[in-house]
Amino acid sequence: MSKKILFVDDSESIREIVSFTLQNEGYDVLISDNGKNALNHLDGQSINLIITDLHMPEMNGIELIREIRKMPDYQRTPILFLTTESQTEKKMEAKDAGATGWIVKPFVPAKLLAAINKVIR
Amino acid sequence: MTNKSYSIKEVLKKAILIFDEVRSKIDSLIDCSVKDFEILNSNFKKYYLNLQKLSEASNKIIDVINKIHENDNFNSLLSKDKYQKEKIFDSLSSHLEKLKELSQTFNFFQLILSNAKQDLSTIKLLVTNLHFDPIISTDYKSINNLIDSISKSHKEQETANKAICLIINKSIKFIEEGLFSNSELFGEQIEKIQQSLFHIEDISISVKKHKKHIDEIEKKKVSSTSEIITNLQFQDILRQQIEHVQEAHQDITRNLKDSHREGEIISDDELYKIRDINTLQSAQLIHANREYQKAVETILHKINDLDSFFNQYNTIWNQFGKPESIKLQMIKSNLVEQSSNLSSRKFSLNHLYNNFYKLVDAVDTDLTKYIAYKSKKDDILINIKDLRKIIGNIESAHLKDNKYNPVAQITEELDKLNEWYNKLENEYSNSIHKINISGNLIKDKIKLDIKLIDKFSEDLAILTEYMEELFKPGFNTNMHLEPTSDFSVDQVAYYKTFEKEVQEIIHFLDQLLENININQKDVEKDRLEHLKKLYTMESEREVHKLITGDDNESKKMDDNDDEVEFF
Repeated sequence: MSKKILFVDDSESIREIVSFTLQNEGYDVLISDNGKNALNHLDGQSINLIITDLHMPEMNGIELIREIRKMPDYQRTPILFLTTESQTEKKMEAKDAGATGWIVKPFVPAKLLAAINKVIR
Repeated sequence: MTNKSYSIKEVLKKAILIFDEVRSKIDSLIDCSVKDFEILNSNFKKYYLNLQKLSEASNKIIDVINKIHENDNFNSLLSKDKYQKEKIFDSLSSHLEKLKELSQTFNFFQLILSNAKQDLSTIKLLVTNLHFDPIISTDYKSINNLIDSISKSHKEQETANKAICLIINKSIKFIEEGLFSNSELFGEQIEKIQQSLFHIEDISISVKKHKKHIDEIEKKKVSSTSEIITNLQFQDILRQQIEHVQEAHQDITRNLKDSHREGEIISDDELYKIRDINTLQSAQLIHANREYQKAVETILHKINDLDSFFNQYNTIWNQFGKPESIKLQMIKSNLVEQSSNLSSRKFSLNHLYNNFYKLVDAVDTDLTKYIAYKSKKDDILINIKDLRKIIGNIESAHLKDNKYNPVAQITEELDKLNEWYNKLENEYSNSIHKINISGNLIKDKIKLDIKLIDKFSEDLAILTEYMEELFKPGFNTNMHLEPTSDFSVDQVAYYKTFEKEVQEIIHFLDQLLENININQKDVEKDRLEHLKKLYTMESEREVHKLITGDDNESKKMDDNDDEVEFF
């Protein structure tokens, strides 16, 4: 059975590119355009990995992670950031919130897939 | 220093007018980037999909062939040592040889027994003629009893011998007329299957020849696809950059509105701030334009590469993939048909073998019976000896009186009879190793042959199953490929719109500076410090640093410039 990944990003083009990349590798991809909507996907779903952007309207990536980590079913689920941001202080904030890793956009498909493989193998 | 004084209201009015123009241009830039993304992404997918279809089809053939060719079963099926027609039923042939030898032996025994029978009849006749001889008459009864006993044992032995000859000949006939012809057909079936498998081996050689080229294209395909995906992300990056430019401009108007004092003259510092922000935003746009152009060109170039890989793949597919897949389809159908023939032949052969085993058991039983008659042969020789003794006494009595010897011929015949039985005894001793053939041994050997054939069928079933994978729904040699020829560079909006819009935005911003007429050249980093909070990308910070000459900026960035980091 293919692994399920929830991808959260407000950019339609990024959602399109990431879905294409992940689906090509056989992953089952759920997408959401912001943090709030992403939380709705988590109910009753068995998600193996969450990948989120940092800067998003309604609820940003850090806030999303904080909410996710409050949920008993998702306390150990790996969460990766996929963002154009690369500032150390942001990364630290993400780490403290409970993120598993940080990937900088634009991503190289092989590196993204390797990172995914590393956290959900 | 500025050479003209402006009221804040005047500057604000001009700035708002110009920023309105800039906003519509920025909207147009974002719109252009969205359209370009759509056209480039959809064309990329078309090329990618076509390539992927050919790639999957070719690799499927390669996979199946490799799976078959590298499988132990395949080499086992082609093994001439194991599955050579002549070798499969080797044990049956050697058994036939043995049976023929045995038949010869028992026919020879039969000949001896016939001769002995002849002598026995003569002896009987001669003894009858001596019925009234006074010397013999006292022993006449004993003589006849012995002759009867010999005759009885002889008859039993002859019957057993005849039965063996009969069952052996039946077995020989069964092997020659039934089993051999069926086994022959069976062997031919195996040969046919092996020929089909040799064709797979030929295809495997062809696959190896093309594999290297396919692998090279695959590598290039992966690399080009990766570059396209990386560069397609420009749309999101650009949108963010342009939004930040827009926010910076909003920041100017907001500040002017906040500090709006009726009739008040704008300070030089405020004018320089507007100028510096505009300069920085122009730089950000020029950078974005350059990055965008680079991304679009890379994508176009790489889509072109995908097109070229597609043509190369298509050529390989038409020369190798398509014909080989058709050949494989035929081989598979052939194998399935032959496999079914093999099964039905195996069924009839099994039936024949079951009957043959009954014959083998019958030969075994009769041979055991025959061996049991060895004691009868010994009885006959004792009887002959006893008879010879009585006849000898009669002969002595006759010779003592110097009379005519009436038993001379009987003595002679008895000697002959004795000789035949001795000969039979000798031949039997010489042939005992042939007679002691074990029926179970031949049955076991044949069962091993049958097991080997079962293994052949099983291995063949595994291979045809692998081949079935190739022709499952979804695999189509006449695949439908998306048309890609309608895509051209003209469809990319960048070349018509984006650069033009960026230039116009910069022109508008320059216009604002011209109107407020600022001559001071140096940009001061403090006036731009507040804009740093807008940035979300390293590239924006780099441009900021370039404009302000702020070297400390990099120290605030993450030292780890790796794109992936785990916590």
